[in-house]
Amino acid sequence: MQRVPQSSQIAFAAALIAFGAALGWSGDAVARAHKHRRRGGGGKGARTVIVAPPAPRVTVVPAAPHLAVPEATHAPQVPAVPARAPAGSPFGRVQFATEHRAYLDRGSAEGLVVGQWLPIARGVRGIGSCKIESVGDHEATCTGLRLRPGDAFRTPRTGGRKARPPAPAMAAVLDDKTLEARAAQIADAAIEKVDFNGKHSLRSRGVVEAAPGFATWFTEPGGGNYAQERIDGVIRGVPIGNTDFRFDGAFSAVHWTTPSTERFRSGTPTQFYLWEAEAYRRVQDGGTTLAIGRLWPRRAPGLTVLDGIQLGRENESRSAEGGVYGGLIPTADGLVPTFDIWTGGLYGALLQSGDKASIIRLAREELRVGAWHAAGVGAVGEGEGLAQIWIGPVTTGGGGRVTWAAEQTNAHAVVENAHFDLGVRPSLDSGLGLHARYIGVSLLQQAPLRAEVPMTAGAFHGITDGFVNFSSRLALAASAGVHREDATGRYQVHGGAELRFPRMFGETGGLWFGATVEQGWMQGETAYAQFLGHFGDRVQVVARLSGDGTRFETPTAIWNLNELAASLSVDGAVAAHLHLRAYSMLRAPILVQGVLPIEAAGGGVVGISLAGAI
Amino acid sequence: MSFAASLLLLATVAVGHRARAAGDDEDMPIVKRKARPSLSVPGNRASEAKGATRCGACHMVEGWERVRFNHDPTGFPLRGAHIDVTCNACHTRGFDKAVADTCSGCHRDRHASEFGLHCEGCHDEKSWRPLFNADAHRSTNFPLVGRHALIPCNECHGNMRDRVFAQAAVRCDACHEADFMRTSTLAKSVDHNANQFSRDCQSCHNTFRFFPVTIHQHDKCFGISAGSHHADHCMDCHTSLTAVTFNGTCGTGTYDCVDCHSHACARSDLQHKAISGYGCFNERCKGCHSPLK
Repeated sequence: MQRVPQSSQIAFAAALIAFGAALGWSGDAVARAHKHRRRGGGGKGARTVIVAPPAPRVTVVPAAPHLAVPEATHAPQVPAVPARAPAGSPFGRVQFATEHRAYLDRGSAEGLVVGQWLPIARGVRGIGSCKIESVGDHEATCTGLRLRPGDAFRTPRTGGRKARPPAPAMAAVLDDKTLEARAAQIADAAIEKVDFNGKHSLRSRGVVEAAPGFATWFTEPGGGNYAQERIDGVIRGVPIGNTDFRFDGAFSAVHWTTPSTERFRSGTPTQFYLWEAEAYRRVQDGGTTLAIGRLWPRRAPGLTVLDGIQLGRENESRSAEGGVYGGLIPTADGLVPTFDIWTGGLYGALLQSGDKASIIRLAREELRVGAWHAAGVGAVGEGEGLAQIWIGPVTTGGGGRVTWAAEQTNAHAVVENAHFDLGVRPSLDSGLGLHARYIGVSLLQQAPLRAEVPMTAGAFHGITDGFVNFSSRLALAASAGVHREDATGRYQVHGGAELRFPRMFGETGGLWFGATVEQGWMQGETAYAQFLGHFGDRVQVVARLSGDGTRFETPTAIWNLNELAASLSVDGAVAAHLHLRAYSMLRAPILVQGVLPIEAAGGGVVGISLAGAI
Repeated sequence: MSFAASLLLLATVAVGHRARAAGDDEDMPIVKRKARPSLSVPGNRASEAKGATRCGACHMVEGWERVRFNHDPTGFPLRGAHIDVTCNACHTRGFDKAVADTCSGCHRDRHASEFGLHCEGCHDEKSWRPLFNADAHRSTNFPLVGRHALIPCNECHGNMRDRVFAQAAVRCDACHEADFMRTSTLAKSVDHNANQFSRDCQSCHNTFRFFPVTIHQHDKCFGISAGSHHADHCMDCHTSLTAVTFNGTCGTGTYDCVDCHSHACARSDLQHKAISGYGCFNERCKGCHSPLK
């Protein structure tokens, strides 16, 4: 416990340095902006100095509250749609903006042409130019900048295209009486409105994705290296002929090179996992629902993989569904079809949605009652429920599973699982979450995996997290958790805080600083700094440097390990249908049980995958 | 396998580029949807329509299937994988019905309810493949340090069917029982089972390697946590370990210095003649010579 202030002080000092750096950068940016204006720069030779009303502030949507899982932070807040500029005004405004494109309230009539570079201002400051991509009469789109609604621009002084001269009046071919008669005839005629009947080729044809990848885990000295080559394939919603049926499939093929016999997996180096291969029917207007094959059942909580059938009935508004399921459950380690465990039962689901004025915006409930049978255990009944409700800014829900072994001598029900989640999101700039779950006792006397010890007692896990965005440049996040395991009586408590400067480097990204402390059977501290940035429009880069120390709660506890770690990940679309994910991590022990390692030691992980989707 | 994987990789790249070349250059959420779109237009644009259906608010003149709708004002900006999904994948009941804005509200649970409704603790919008790494594991009851941070997840979490991650116990032997037992077969190891060693493995071992070990009780008699003896195996010095109880008593008489250190009394006596209390006895070296050097 005495070590806690040390890392906090380090983190605080680091935060102060970063804050100072951010302020310094901010000052530089302002100075650069003034200098820029003095030069009359607006990008691409533009000389117009634009004074426009201040734009609505864009803030940062935070990452998931878990401190250690960085996410994109560039999602803009939802501003009110700015009013269109007055029709006669030479100034136009950005009406909407996405990550890649802005929608303008001026068009060709005001002189905008495709390919033109348009100088943009935010408040009194020129921020660059965007390129006109398409124009309508009074609307246009442009790309090239991350614009915000309310950003302003000036239309070319030359004005828009000139109005055509009025066509010369021509003599009437028909007299007015004839024209009136024909108009009346047309007005009286019954004209069927035309429905759009899209070509079959325009219907949703599903998604096919393939993602080959490679990863290696290495440690020195001592070898113990792993290598993995894999390919993951996914097929979603592919129509089967001209029927209402579609096909979902997913698989992974993995080849391992391992230093020793695997503890839990099947011992074969090459494995094939078929996650899903089902033909299903679910249509827009409800009716009979059916899925057959290797299923991932819908609206049946707690069921994951099933070789069998799910048959149900959905009402027309799709707000209620009920039905039956049944089939065989494959093995846990290899997903091999087997007759050892079979299952069957009933399920039902409800969905209620309110209108915009309702306090309760949405609610859903799901229930499943069934039984499964396994050799050595006999028949086991189980019931599982789930409910979730959205009330204003609050989302809460929970559920659980109860099982009872009917054929056991001292049969009694046990709670296998229970969970509760609460999320409060008063605005996009703040949020608070509370998550609790209980993992109960398994009725299986033998664990489903080789060499795994059966769960003989329960465990409780609770986590709370929150964040506040003070501005687009400064945010604070914190989390805390408590865990207790009944089998050993061991507990673990952890907490941490993170100070974020998401725009320290402007649109490119920023730095985050954080520290965590753990107490319990395994005690430790971590301090880290990470860069989270975006290069191009859709590529995210996270680079992280951390140091941590860990010791065990033993009578002779010493620092078991002090380590330095560095990681880098690149994640993003490198082409329209191509997604790259690469990551690497290096760790090196500084002190092992309080002393310097007798030889240089360390290890790391490197992996890359490339997903192509059609 | 690697050759096949390479071929598939190349094929994927080629397909991706071809699809891009053949498709629209748009990279914004232009989505395709089925015929007969809902007549209810959501968001601010509906209010602009003043009761009338304003198709052009979302649809483009090139065809109904091309939709341009700024989703940001709805409070659920489309990011990551959500950019490419069709509208009715989420709006299954039309646009006038509320849609859940949490992951669990739309997506099925692969984890047999183990993590409840809290998907975003591990997953993000880009992909279901999680970024949950060793750093994130510190927010569990088993922080990953040392070697544990450098092995594949499957080494410990092998349930592929239910994708549950709970382990039976946060005890070392819950996973390392086999390692404990195989000490009886390793040449230089001590039979942990026969000597009734404690299952609190962390008392001696660190999380980076099984060997070398640190035994603080041993350091009180003879330092091995550092120095030249740090990398020695027990049986390099000890002749037997039948008396290993760590009861605070030193001098078990089961070790032998001169087995490694050359020692001839005639020569040693000469070297130590000025040392008071010196005696040429095997087990007395450590009385003067620090084992840490």
